[in-house]
Amino acid sequence: MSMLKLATETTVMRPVRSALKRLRPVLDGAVGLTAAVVAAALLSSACRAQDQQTIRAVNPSTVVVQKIDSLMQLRQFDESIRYLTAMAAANPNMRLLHLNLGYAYGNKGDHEAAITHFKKELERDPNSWQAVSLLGQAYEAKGDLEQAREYFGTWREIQPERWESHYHEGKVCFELGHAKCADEAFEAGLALNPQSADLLVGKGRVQMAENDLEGARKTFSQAFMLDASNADANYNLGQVLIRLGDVEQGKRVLEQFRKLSEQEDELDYLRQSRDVAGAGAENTFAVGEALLNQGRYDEAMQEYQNAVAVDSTFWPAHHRIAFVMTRKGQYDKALRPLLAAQRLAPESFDVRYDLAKNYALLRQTEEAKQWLESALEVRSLDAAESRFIAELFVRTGITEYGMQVLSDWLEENPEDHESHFVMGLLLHLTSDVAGAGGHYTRAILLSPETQHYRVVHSMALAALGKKNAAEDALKAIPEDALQRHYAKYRSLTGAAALSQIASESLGINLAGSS
Amino acid sequence: MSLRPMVVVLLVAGCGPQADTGSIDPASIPAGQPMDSNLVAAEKTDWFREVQDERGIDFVHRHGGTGNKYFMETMGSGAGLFDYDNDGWLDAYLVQSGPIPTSPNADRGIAATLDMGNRLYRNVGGGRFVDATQSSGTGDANYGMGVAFGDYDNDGFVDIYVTNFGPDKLYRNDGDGTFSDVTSPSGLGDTRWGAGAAFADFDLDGDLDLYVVNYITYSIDRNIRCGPADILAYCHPDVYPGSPDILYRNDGGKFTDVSRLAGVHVDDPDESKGLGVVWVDYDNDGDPDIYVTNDSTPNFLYRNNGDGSFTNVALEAGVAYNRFGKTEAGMGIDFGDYDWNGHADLFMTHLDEETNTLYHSFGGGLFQDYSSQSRLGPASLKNVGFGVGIFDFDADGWLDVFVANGHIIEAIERIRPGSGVTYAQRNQLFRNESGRTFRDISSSAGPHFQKARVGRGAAFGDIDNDGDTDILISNSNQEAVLLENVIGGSADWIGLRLVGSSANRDALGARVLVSAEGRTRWREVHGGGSYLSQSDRRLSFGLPGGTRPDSVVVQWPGGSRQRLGRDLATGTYHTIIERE
Repeated sequence: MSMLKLATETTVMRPVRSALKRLRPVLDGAVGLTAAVVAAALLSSACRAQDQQTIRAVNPSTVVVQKIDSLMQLRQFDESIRYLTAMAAANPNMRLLHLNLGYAYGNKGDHEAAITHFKKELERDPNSWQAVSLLGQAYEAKGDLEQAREYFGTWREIQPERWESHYHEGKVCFELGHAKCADEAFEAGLALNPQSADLLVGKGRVQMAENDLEGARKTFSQAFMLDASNADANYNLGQVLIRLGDVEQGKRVLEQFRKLSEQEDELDYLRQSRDVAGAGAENTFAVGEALLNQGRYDEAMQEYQNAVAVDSTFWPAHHRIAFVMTRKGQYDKALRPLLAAQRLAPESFDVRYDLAKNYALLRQTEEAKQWLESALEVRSLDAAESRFIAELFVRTGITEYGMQVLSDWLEENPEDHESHFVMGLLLHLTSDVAGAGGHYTRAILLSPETQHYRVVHSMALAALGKKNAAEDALKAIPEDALQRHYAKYRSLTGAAALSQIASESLGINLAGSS
Repeated sequence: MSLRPMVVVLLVAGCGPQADTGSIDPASIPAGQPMDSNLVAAEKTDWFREVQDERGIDFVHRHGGTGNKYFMETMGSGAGLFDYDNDGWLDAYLVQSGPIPTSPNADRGIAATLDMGNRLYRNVGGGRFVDATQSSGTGDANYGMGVAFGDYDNDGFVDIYVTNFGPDKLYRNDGDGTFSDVTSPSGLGDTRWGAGAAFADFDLDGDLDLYVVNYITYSIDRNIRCGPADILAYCHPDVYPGSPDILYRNDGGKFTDVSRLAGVHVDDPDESKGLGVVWVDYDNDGDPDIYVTNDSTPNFLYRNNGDGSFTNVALEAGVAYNRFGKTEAGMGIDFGDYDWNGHADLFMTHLDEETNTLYHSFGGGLFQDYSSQSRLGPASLKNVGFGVGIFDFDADGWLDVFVANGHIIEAIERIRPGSGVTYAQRNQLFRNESGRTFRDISSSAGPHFQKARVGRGAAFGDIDNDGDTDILISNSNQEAVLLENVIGGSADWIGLRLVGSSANRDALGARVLVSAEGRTRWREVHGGGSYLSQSDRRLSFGLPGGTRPDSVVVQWPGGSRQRLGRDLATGTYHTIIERE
């Protein structure tokens, strides 16, 4: 159990946790009616004169609407309900109010209240697809699947052009054991959106239920191709492969599923903990971290921003916002949150170090050097950091300084063969092939079994015209390793010469191996 | 209901053809064909009635809660049906929790003084019970959880294993109506939080081994506060580390922990939070395998490799996660071949907003979640299921399902107003409709099914020897309920009690295959099942429409087969002794 988990565990309670797990589709599902959308709709309606008037009757500005939007984002549903109820008291027929109320109640697990409000919205606007779809989802969450199916069916009639309406009815039909109805709905959805992994998984399940294993395999494979991180697709594909006798492949897919499932479980747990305890900066940040671990940068960013909204002094969130921006190549934009983090945590090595990196990426040499010096005041660099910063600085034109960083490290740690190799590479890149050769030799002496050291060293030898030495070095390397490492380092000086030596002396064609 | 206290002891050894061996291969008949015109099942109602008061079961479970919401308070306890005095009548055992122990090894003298221990009820005939706790010496006053029965010393008298929040206990049946506590000399008495337990002879050496499921690592002094700010509630098991299960090998009456050796020890405690266990030969290879339901972590299916070791194959077999690839809050478990395709299907109970889950077996050791197709899933979304049994309650030849329900949080209606979920819940009875789907017939099954209680353990057995299956239910902090099945007498049946000779005496792992009109039905004598409970080991088969079986074959553990004569009398139990 991670420390993160321990930090939040006291807030979790079984039924609420499961209730929220069940309710999530109501929040984030394909309906497209997330809190932001609902609140935005409310906001846009507020812009209409009539509603503006209404809101002003309750509150003289639209600040309250923005407040609700923010509360919904932060999943503070009790507070949201308090505001919305006040507004509803002033004007019970105000547009979208009941949708918002139902949404908030639903997320608290009070399905009855949610249903009451969605129905009120439906009375107000009998053509409201939002009310119909949310009624379906509220009944589904409550376990009344027949009722849910009825509303999803109505939704499909109202909005046959939306694949989500077909998906939801298909899902409930399947749960009710009505394979034909499920199949028909999923097919209709796929006709509108053939790229939906969810629809494909739904269809695959029906095929499995009907014992059409080959069909199911194809469908799950398709879903897998569209979204390899879809745990559901992985799980079902693994199962069907095993059923079809492809046990080894099935097990491999299931192993992948297990990893995804663990990540999903962790994420679910953190989200539910937060929902129960209320959104704080730390638990919101923890959700962001779990998303980041899955490579879901945009969603992670949203959570980090939410964390900052809750507590603008929570520096790890600023730091992570910068990290995501950097990952997306937004080096300039990342400076602001980095500097904010630095102000809040002036002694943080990580923030100073990241500032150095970021300025290097922006080719702002002096700032990069200054921040690195600043980071070194907190502590010295370890091996990986030394190698990384050296390579980054060399690649971004801060060559001398970068070399010095690694040199300093090697002076203290002369047995670090990996750093010798990187030093060699950096010298190789800067055309000091002879200097590079010395470090390669040292790296090979320290770690003779590492084959890529030898391949790159033989390139340096070839570049220096030491044909025999290069040829001898090549002979010690198995051909598959040679091909692989050559392909990786072929942009280095001496690669072409080495290729020629390999071809002439050993009859190995390296040129075509990329 | 007719009382027919006939227990005919037949020594069938020697009758029938030469014993043969080989894998079990019941005739595979496509599901969906009605067994017959089904004379009894049609539109009958009120199948069960509550008889605990009139039959002498006055057990009231006490969880000992004082408002602090210590985790074990809500887990309830088990029930058991077994014949401890070999008089042919099923006796009842109910596990008591009692006052909260301050530590796992706390002196339970107060509980004992208050008569807050487990209770043994002797069936004096016809399903009438008298309390035999004192005279038998079986009133363990530890904070009780579950119970398992097994004649571990093969002396012909069934012994009792009790799991506790605290040290577990083994009572040896001395054969004279009394029991001796032999926990320590037997090498048992694990102090972790034990839940389900089950006997079986996994190494086929003729004596019974024991699998004990441990739940989580928890102590009163490290209780974590859970729930919203103003309401204290029981925690989710995620909050605590799990606790690894134990497989004990019986070495001449002394038990040895072989969990690691056998490959059933889980190193990561967070992966092992078990509650239910059942031994089942899921792959029809003649040796017993283990299925464990874990609470919110993937379930285990340990395939018996036949060499003393096991491999967890749950993931690839399709029974670790549900159809959505999600773990569920596994509580109770049972198995049965609901479509008579020759392979054991698994059914387990879960939390509300999850379905109870039916894993249908296709053979080859592979399963698929059929909760939706079978209609068992949607019917459970609002309930928290615990005790569970798969049995043919209406003697129509198809296996039906009973689930004992009850939420775990008293304040659930306050915590989740408007969710439609309640603390006390109604039990459910599902009728098998020709091996394809199940229909919830609770509303017409009798007044019991209209009364909400907090169900936990449930044991299944024929208390009055009329051929039908009655149910003993333990309810959390409430009175136990004895449900009498009132179909007895209106349907024909055949009952068998198996006694092993070279196999373990309880014949755990043996199967009986009954063929009639081109269809083969089978049941397996097994350890474990349900929730913290142990059911009647005898097997009974309804004979719908008065059909006579074409053949009755016993498949003993290890694979030898024994064919019984076609002239077995109906309407009674036969004792079948394994031919040497």
